[in-house]
Amino acid sequence: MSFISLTFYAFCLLLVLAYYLVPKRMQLFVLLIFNVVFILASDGELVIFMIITVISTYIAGKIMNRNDRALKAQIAAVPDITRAQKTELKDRTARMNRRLLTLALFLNFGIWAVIKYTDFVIQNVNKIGSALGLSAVPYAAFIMPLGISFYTFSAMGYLIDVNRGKYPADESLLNVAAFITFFPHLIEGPFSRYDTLGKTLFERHSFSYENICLGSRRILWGLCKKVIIADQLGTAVNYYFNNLNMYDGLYACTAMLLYGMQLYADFSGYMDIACGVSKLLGITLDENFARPFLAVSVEDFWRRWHITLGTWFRDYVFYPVSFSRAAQKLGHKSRKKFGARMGKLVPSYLALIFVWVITGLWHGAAWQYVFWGLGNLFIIVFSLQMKPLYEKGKHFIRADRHELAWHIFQVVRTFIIVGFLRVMSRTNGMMECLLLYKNTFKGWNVNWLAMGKWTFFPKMQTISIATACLFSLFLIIVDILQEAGRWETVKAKTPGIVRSFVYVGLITALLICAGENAGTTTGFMYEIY
Amino acid sequence: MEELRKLLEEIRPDLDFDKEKKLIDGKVLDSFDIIAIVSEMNEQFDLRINVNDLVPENFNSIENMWDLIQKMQAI
Repeated sequence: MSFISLTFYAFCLLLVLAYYLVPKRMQLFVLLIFNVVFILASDGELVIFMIITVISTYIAGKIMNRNDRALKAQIAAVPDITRAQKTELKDRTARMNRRLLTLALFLNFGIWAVIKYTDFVIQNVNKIGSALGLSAVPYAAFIMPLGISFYTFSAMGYLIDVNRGKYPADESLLNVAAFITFFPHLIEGPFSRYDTLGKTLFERHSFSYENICLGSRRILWGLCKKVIIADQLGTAVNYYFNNLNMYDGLYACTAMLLYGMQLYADFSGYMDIACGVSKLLGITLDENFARPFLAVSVEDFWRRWHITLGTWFRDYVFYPVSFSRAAQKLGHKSRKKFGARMGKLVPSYLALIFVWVITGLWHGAAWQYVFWGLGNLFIIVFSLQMKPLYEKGKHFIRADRHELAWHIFQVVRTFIIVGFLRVMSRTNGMMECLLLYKNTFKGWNVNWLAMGKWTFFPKMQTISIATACLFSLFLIIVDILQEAGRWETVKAKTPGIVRSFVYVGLITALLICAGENAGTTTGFMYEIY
Repeated sequence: MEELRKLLEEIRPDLDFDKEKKLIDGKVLDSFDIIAIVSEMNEQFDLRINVNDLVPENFNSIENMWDLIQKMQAI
């Protein structure tokens, strides 16, 4: 069920009515029913994989709770228990829970990995096989269940937190099922955390006109981003990437710029709709974007783009690997040989390799995604290593005296670097990506003004290009105002009649673009992950 | 606390840990500093600080870190 279909909004209307009309103690149950209907309508029998995740997560959590209660009882049963005995009992329980956690992780990540990466492995095996004259292994062509890359990570994050003692496992199957299957966060995230989403998900909600207004506005904003910007620009972007050889210079750069805006509008538009739908019910989802195009470094970009992916990998991959014995040994050796600074950085570099290879593969089962991840890693590590020299250079050119100009330089530089990295995921393999890079540096001649070349947008009407660009500019201005902390003030000071005109304008543009896109609109871009 | 101060000064010799009271909230320490500090604390004080303990209240000042060490040693 697409978030940009009338069926979906009819579904949401029914949900809102049912949610607020039933007794409050039934709200979560009603939500779970609607979650299941959404999944069945979108995924059919593939729902079995989600059921496996829900059941295994619930059972593993319950057993961990039971083990912890047994531990407390054992300690209480021995009045003058020594510290050593207590430690031994705690270690034994920790080992049991760790084994249970490992089993659950193996089962759930195993299912995800098999479905997602089997054909990638077969592809590489076949390449080696064909060089050795062996016959090809047939592809499995598994269908990805809806949201498996998102709900698996959310569920396993919950179990890891339970194992770490952050909170006890939830004994209610309804709660665990509602958390994992919550439909707004299924298709493109966010990677929800049990304790933060749970704060509002499990509460009983009274009808709130304010929530309905806030939710509806957010949904409208997301729809506008998707329909007016992403889908309009997508026509030109798709044409360019299908005819990459024909365009270079300014056209290649323009296509990269448009692709970046398309992806941002598409993904953040989805998030706005997901957050808006949740808000209608009084539920708060974690934010996934914080004005990423205003980042001052690649590291800063990843604190603003797909935020919950970054924090998930930080808490469940980066920190555990950094704190591991192997990483710490490496850190000690590096400190002795290269000094305190390297001793501090080396464990983190090791962890970052894991983070970026897995992040790359999470985005896609292909080598270009691994290279994309390693590309991000290289830029981040290079920046960290060069930081002392960089600070000296900044002082030398007196950049600290021209803060705004320096800030703008950093933002533009980051935008370009991220743009170059991002297209790796759009092209069909690394060779095509390298061709694109080559094309951006050649063909900068005076003919770019000739109108004939701009049939780069063959299927777009001028009004569509203008609308998409105008709304993109509006989006950027809103982002800048939000970054400066002035957006709420500007909104409050804008006369009501002007705001009404803006809403009418947005809805009109949305309807016109939706009509133009009819039959050509695709789903959301991050659905494929 | 002297041992802790020495540990911190080895990792960030540029900081005056007696004066800094917003090491995390003020973004004075980054995640790489935290990893190095926690690793050394775990080793020198025989602790098991884990990801759940990585909150600003535990690392904003040398006093916060000392409180964390004492709390964990008492368990």
